[in-house]
Amino acid sequence: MAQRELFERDAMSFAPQLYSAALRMTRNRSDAEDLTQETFLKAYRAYHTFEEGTNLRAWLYRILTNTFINNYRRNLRRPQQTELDELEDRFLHRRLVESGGGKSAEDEVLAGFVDEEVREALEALPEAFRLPVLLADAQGFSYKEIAEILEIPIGTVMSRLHRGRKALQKRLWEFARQRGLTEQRP
Amino acid sequence: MKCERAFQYVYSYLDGELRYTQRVMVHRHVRRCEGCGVSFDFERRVLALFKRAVSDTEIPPELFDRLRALVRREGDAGGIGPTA
Repeated sequence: MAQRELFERDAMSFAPQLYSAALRMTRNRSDAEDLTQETFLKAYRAYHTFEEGTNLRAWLYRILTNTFINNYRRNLRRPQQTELDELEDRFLHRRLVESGGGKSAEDEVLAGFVDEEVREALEALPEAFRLPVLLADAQGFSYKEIAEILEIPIGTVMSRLHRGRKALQKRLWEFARQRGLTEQRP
Repeated sequence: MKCERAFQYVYSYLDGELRYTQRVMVHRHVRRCEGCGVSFDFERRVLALFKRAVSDTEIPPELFDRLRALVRREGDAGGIGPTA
């Protein structure tokens, strides 16, 4: 089979996932389309270097994230400590327990979050934290794969993923409060 | 295993990233300790919420067509020849 046919069959099937990730990275459609196009063009040009039988999906994501980092000059690999506050564990759970109402109230709050809010919360994270969360939670990559894609140590993947998820919880808590979701009880 | 220690592993546990021995230790603790059972379950539900919200994978059809056209044009221009 010709290289182009192979590429169209194998790599192009990941285009929807890559576009979705690009959208969460760039936060807007037009940049996401540009990023996806550039990624596929680079991938196609480098396709002869791809080793058959290795992880094609991770390879494509590495090109996507590298292109994103280079284009947007984000300092992903050296995040500033101040970019994200250190938050306590169980952030959201603690707040919900403190606000009373028991488990049914918690269920109600969790069920009340709409996808749009969660996406907004994710998009508000600094890149260094957004990318690991995106790769793990939206794309289902393992810690090891994320480490390879982002070219950072696995311990760094874990700490950024954990801090990023806690920051998401904090944002969700703000949404819940804004909507009065947690003030329904005396 | 103490509660604080168990909770340090919560994400690795939920992500299926713990080695067997650690996984079993955390699992045992969470089953026996009611507080941790509740905490772990809460974190699991929040993760499920994240996953559901961000795993949309729709691509505008015209972008997909553009990608294919891009690749074909590149191929036609002789950028990459067919392999044997």
